[in-house]
Amino acid sequence: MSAYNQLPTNVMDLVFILPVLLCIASAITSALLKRGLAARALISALTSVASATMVGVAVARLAFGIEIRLSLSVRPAYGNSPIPWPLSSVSFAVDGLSAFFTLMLGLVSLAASIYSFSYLEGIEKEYGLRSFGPNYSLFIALMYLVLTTQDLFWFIVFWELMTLASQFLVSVEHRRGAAVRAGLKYFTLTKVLAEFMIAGGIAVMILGLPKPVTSFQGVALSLHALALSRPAVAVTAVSLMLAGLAVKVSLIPLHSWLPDAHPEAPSNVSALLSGVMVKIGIYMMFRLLLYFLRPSLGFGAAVACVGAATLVYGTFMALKQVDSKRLLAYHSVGQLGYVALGLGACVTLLSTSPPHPVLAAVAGFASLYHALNHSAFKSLLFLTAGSVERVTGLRNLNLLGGLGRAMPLTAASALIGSLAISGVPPLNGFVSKWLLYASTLTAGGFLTACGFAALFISAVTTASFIKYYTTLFGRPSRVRLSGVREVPAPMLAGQAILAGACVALGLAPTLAWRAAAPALTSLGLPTSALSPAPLLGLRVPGVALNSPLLIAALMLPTAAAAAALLKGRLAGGVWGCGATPPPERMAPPASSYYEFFEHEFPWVYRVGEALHHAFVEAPSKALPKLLKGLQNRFETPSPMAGALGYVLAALALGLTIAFAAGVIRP
Amino acid sequence: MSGSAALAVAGAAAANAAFALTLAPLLDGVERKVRARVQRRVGPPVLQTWYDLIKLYRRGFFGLRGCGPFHRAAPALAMGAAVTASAILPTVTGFGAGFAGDLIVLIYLMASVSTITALGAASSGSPYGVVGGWREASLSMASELALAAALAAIACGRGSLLLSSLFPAVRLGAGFRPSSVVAVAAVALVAYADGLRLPFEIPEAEEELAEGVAVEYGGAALALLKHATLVRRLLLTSLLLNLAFPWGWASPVVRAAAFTASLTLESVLCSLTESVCGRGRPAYVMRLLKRVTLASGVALIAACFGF
Repeated sequence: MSAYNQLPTNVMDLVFILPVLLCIASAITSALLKRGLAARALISALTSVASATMVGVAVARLAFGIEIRLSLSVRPAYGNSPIPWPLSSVSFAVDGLSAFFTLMLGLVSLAASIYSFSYLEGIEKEYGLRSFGPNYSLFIALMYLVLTTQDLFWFIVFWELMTLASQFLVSVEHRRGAAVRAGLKYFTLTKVLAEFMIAGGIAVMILGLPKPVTSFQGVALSLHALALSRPAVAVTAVSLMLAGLAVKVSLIPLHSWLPDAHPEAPSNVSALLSGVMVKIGIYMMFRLLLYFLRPSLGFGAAVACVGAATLVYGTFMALKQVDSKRLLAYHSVGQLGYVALGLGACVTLLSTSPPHPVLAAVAGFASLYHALNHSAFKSLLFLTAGSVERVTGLRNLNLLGGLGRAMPLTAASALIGSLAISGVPPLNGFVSKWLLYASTLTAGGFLTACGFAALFISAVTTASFIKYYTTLFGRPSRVRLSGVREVPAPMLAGQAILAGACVALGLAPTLAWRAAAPALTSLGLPTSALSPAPLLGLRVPGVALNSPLLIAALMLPTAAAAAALLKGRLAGGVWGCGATPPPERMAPPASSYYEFFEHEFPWVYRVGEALHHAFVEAPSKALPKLLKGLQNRFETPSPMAGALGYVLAALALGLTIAFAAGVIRP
Repeated sequence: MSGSAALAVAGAAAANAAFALTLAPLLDGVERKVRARVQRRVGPPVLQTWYDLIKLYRRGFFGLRGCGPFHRAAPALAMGAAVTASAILPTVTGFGAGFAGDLIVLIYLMASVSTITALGAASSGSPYGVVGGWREASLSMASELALAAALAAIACGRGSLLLSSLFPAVRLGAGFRPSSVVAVAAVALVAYADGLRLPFEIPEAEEELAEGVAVEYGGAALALLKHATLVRRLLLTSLLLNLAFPWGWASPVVRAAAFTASLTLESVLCSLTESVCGRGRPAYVMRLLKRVTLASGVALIAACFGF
């Protein structure tokens, strides 16, 4: 039996495949080398080049309109195929939406991979790179494949593999109980809900048309036919898929894995998890709600309201945190609420009668833009938190402090990240939030109420990051820290790339508009919604106007002129009412910052906990005893538990894929 | 935009900024005088705040190194944000509104003044500065809650965020919406609270926190911080005046005079209120602002239903 692979035929196809090949090379070499400078250098270099190539692939589509398409299939010369159909062929295409998210992935993984070179020293010494290297490389490659495949079946396969790789990365420091537990919680929650997505996906693929289809185009037709013939089945299938995606996006009440998993992962992985992986759920939601499905008011409103609830609860929880990475993780929940709100508003505005395509396009753009911005600033913040942890060995904001003078460059990066997520003009978070307000506040109805929540929560985010920045870098530390110095150049370079992205995306929103326009066009949204304003600014005609570069041109020279007045002496130390207590006694703990504010809003916490209990904890209590026993086994970290984890996870995954492939028969 | 029009806009913006920078300390002088008269004192001259600022400006930076460079840069950045906001918001000239941004941009610029102040204060290394910083942040969270609801109600009614279509928010006749009146009333309360007036003046709280956010600043840095705070206070009042009353009817000179008079009147009213208030405890202030939110929340719900 002779099977042949249809090999890539031109240069662009090779460029498309290159990142995957590089990541596989990195996986193999790191597994073989296990430890040493060469292993670190190879992982870092190969994944960096792979990421840069991804950026290239995305830019080729977004700036020059070169759309790479690639189909690979196993076709026998005669007789039956040895591999059944959905498994035997796969197609990739970098369309507008894929390209936008690939750009995000390339940007973050480039920074994280460069950063890794120095950061991995710690992991290498304690654990070696045999587990980290392959999983990290394959994780990046799989995210790339998830984003570019044009086939729902393969999307699910790559999605599951990506979850698997990321689970191992979360618990890569397998001698720490917390890391193992977080990885397990993450895997259980996403795996259980991913089964919902798979069930929904299979229903959509096999029930709509006489013959099963797996390509995105086919799925769109199939879902449309299903919606006409059996609307209840279609609604159920889409809801199931949304639930599976929502757990990855960590929308309330399915968010609880994220604040455990993201902090426990190594920081370069946290950057990828928070910066990119959670957004892949958003990517599929865009496809599902705007491409597979005709815009539906019910789903749009549901996503918008869940998004608004998520941003309120996530950010309020973040306000309470005293662990640097846990605080950032809760803010990821909150910021993804913003992204989901934008998407929900977009769908809602398209499905009202009469539809508002212009505002819908603005909301869709706000969502995409905020997703990109969040990748830049949240990954940056995770990298700086990693730098601090690397230098001090601490994540506790109550104890840390005063690092601004010893680590000025890291402090500057963290400040840019903090100001960007707080939405201080003219940085990037400000512009995308502004677009979100422009589309929701003016829309009327419940969208205005959601926009109000977003506007208020923005102030809470700001307060939280005032705490975050000042407790790390501002006020004195509450313990004696010794040997604090700036981190090595590769780590600084990784931070600088993302800090630069925060500034550039803020000053030139038209750049983001150019990047997102092909994505919006591919979803059928009008790109005439926004027009340029003076100096690279953006205008929603008759509704809103923002020109960050002009604001910067006003603000920075004024500030510079004011700073000219500030020449002069430095005198004395901190005033301590006449006494000179040691600095660590002069620093209030982080937990006391917003206590009296939190006390005024106890219901936010109560409602969030009640929702989480009703949807996650109560059902999980009903899990069979067997699973419980397994879970207990995992809670005591041991090499056996790790190995068992690999086997079980791979088994669960294999069964799922085999089941899916078995059900979808031509 | 043609060249001459752009020049006119730039001129108007510069005039607005210069007006805000000049008048803000003067109004503070007026308020000090009013408070003194209520307390049966003679009080300092109206120009006293200006004299203080000039004296401080001439001293240059005088203070400690702090924990990192941001402590020193913060007052300048806060001033930058305040001046930019004052260039966007129509005050003495009704012209030049929103050439660089809309209502959201304006709100964010004004909020950045307090964000930057809080960051700078908490970077000083002084426990009083840290406490002042977090009080500043808490106050802006709580007032943002009330302000966001009020502005959402107004924007929802107009279907736009552009300053030119929002001002004035209260329109009599065919375009009248009851929700806008409630919303503007809520904005008035927030402008009072966020302008750091008693009982809301918790971040500086001289008697408790020894000037809180400003404790480790001296010389020009202190002057910049005070000046920026005063400008921000003036802008909040100006936003309220723009939302509450129409100003398009008047000729430029009449408008300038009427606007200045209104600002002064508002200052007098506020300082009279202040002179019968003590400083609230932070928790009390939060609760008070939450109650203001009830009013603006009602406006928001009404606006969502089209009233």
